[in-house]
Amino acid sequence: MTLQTSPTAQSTATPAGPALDIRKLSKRFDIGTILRRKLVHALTDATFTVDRGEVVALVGESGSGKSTTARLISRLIEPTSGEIYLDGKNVLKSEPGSASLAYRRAIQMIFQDPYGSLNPAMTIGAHIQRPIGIHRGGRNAKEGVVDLLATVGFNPPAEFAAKYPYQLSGGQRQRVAIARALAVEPEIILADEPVSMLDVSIRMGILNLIEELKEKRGIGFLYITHDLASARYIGDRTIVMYAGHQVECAESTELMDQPAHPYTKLLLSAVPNPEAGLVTGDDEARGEIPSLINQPPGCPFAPRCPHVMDVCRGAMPAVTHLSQDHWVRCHLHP
Amino acid sequence: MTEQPILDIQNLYVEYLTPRGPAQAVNNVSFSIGAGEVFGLAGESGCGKSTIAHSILRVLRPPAVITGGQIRFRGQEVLTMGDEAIEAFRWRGAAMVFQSAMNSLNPVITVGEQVMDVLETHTKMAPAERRERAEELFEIVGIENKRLTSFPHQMSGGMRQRVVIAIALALNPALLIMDEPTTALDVVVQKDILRQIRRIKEKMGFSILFITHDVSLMVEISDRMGIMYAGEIVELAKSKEIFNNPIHPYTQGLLSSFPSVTGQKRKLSGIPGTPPDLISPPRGCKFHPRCVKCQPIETERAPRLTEVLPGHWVAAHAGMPLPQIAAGGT
Repeated sequence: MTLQTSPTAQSTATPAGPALDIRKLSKRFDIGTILRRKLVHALTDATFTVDRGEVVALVGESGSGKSTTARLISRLIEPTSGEIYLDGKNVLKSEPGSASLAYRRAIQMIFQDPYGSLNPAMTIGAHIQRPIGIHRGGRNAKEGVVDLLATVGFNPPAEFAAKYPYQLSGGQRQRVAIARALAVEPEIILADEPVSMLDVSIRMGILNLIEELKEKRGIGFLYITHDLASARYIGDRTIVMYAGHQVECAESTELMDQPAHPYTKLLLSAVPNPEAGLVTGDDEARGEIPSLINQPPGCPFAPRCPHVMDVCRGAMPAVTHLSQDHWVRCHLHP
Repeated sequence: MTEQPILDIQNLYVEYLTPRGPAQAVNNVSFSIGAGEVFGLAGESGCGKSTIAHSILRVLRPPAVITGGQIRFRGQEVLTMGDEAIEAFRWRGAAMVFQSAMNSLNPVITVGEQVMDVLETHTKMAPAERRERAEELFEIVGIENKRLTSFPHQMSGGMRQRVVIAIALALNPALLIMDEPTTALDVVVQKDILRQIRRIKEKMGFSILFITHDVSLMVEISDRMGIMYAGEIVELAKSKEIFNNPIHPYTQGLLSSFPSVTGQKRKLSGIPGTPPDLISPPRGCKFHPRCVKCQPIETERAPRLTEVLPGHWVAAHAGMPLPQIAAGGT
């Protein structure tokens, strides 16, 4: 990881750079009428990289723009502005409108709900065979299916290939979704809350699988979650998002041990802590994420921030590097 | 406990009569909740924790049937109460905050009216008194009075959840049952609400039955807790004790399913396999197919809940005899 994670880094595409390079990606949704213009600033200036063999965790509350980021990268929706580089190629320029087959092969996605993401009328084998057929045009896709099912932990894999989604548990379905993403040999997998709908006892199995795929196959993951603990568990780096802005980024352990942004501190203090118990009566930041419609200037966290200063309400703070891999956007760290 | 418990459940059995046969959703569950105590039931989906909550208020719907056991509220049997008695018991005796309750508010009536509705139906208060009480309740849960005239869609999820808690508290219940009250909320809001609940509880002195799948959250909020698996309580003790000295292999597995934000990073294993089918559960200990410490006896005979340390009950063969496990710890 280099300085390129910083939202201000401006360099031209480097051929040996990271697999996925996102620069100043923004998305605004226009929900108003002609007379009353209303803009939802879902994502503002997202800038980061995801390399092969790396898990980047994107953490934030609902409405912070995490899923929008994934949807923009997967090109399910088009960005308002910004650039997406895949292996040094500016894909929004070279393939405007819709993504090429090659891009869709390189970037795969796993969704939150393993009950909604599989077709109930198709066997597990067919789910995995289909992308192989589309992307690799292979007739001999059968064998690949069994291998993939074995990779994601099905035993015996051939037996599971003949089953239907309703015969599988939530955790098993999520493994199928992962196998389906792997079928086209992607470079990057965008995993949007892949374990939050699963039972707690099987979550670790999926997270460990992601880690294994990262290490053995060199796949890069963008792991989207609201759970800081799991971000620390599998994320090499963690980016904290608030109201559509990235506010802090660091190596995961460092971020949680030495958080710099007041919002990161707030999030950390809200994680259940069985050791200390529920501390009551202290005065820290409270409240909820603000409306993203027609945002005022300044730092979006200012209304909730316990350390708010006048300058915070006027301007969005710039990026400050605390160390090479740790940056924060906060006026407390000028 | 020397004083009479608020709620005492003995040998409760609940079945769901499905076309494939009866599913044993709650199997011989016993526990009691003392005055002012926060008791937790933790477990994964389908372990029967919500079914117990619904049984207490007798709001189970077919095909669920209570097939045995007693539920006593302040010594009085709930399961045999007549219509009038059960009406009085609900809200006043025990009130419930349901899972995703924030979506259970009526979208076309202001939240204030919804609070006052409960008071109108269940008390003889005059309209002015009802309004006063509604304002008081909003203050208790931390919402401004002026929000009484808001509609649910004008409020955030956290605020709606507070409204639902205010409604549950309307008649000063002795027992508040909360079924995953904060699961759908963001962590920061969740923490806020949990703190508030704890504060209100200390002020008003009611007991809480708290249900969640999040064991670390449970350890934080509850005094004592039961860990449920496949319709049975497999371990029951003070929450801190369960956290520091889990004995049942399932409890140990659950606790190692939650990564931490502090300390050394270590590999967590979770629990292999999936929860069993309750219509044809495994013989013997229901956890044995997933158990890493399974002993031959478990496949034959179901372990019984036994007090292995003072106040610490466990239903497992593995780990017995106890002294080594307690000393060896995990």
